[in-house]
Amino acid sequence: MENKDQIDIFTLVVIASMGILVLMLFIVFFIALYQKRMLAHKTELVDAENKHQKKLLDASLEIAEQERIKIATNLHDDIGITLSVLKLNLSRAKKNINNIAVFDEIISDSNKNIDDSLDTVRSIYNDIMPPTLMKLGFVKGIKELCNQINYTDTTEISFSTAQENMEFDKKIELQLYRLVKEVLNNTIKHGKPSIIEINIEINGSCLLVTMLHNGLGITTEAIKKLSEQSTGLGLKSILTRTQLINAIIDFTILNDQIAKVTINVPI
Amino acid sequence: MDNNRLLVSLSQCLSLFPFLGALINIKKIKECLLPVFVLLFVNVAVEIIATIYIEFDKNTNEILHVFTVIEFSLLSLFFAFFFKKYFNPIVIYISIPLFFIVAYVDYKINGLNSADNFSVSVESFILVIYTLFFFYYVLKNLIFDNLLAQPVFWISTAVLFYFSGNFVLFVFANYMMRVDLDKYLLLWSIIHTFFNVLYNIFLGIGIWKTRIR
Repeated sequence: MENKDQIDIFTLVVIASMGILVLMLFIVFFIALYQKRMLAHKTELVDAENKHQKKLLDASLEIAEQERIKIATNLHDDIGITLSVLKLNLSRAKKNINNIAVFDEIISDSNKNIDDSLDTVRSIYNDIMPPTLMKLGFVKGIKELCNQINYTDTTEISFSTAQENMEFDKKIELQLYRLVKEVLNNTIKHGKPSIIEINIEINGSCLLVTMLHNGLGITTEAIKKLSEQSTGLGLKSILTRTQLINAIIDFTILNDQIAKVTINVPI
Repeated sequence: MDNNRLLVSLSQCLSLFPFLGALINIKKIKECLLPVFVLLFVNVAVEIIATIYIEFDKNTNEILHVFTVIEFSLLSLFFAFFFKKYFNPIVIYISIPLFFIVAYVDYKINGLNSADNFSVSVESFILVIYTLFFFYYVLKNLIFDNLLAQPVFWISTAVLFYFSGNFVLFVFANYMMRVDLDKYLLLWSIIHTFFNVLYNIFLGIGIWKTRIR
């Protein structure tokens, strides 16, 4: 019996040592293999993020380009043509200086052309630098925007805020205004809501813009997928502007009838 | 018995391989590899002294008691110097003087002339934990792009294989010696030699990788 125990101990030591060897071999191989895979996966994620950032950058450059083209087209097609007509009118007026009736008609036409041009210039200016936003601040700017949309009778927008006179960095105000405008445009275009409620409040050191609407909702994940797949600039513009002001934008569907968009901006 | 001596001699000679590699790459031995280089030198010195002792039929256990403490200290410093780049390895620093206490207890209980199996078992256990933590930390934080090109990986692998493979042998050594000394010596010459060979090969690869870096 004692011999058997002795042999067993020696056998146990041999088996245990070999078992440990196999285990350690497995551990080391596993670690070497797994580390490669994890590194490859990490590289993939970094590449994907870089691609996404590049897409957003390209989108923001294209948006800036399109705005320049829009301004150039407005200047050329409206103001350029109007100025050409005014020049012709001046020549006609010079020729008809003794014909009071014709002269008066030319002056009246020219006045109308100048008024149209001034409206076009104002419209371009308002688009670039909304005056209400510039002079009266973000809250009044958004109120004005809501009024403009209400005038179109497509959607009914109501606006509420507890802080009428909030002030923060002008650059953030402008970008946030454009972001809210872009989100509203997209919501009205794709969600087709009949009612939108906008609320603005300050939450600690952040500004919170909340939009509730009864149109077709979408989630943040769906937005990100769409922005990668689609060639349209609207979504990319929203994501780019959000990043520019270090904001967090969240799209949720609360239920069948209400969807929500929140924009959280540090100020 | 001659075959046992042959195997043991073979493994002793193999300890020259990483030592020579360290001498060739001596300029590249920096930071956490410094304690390993010192250990390689101590290894070779101990092997030579042990061989001389055996030739004169003297008990080698007294050298091994001292060697165990030096080996543990140097390998702990290797891990401590590696980890100090990322966090404060105060646990490793504290374990060194604590191990001195363990070795002293072993000496008091068993004396210098018997094998230091208790302290070697404790040493094996702690060093295996250090190596497993090293692998876990490196994997979790993805510190290296190419793990197989890092000297620290091969040195840790060497430590892991040697001390985990010999752990059971160390734990039951005293019992097996009392029961059947010849069988124990046979087992020692096979198992310990095998893992010692692996240990020296991996250490050598680790030292060689410092040249490629």
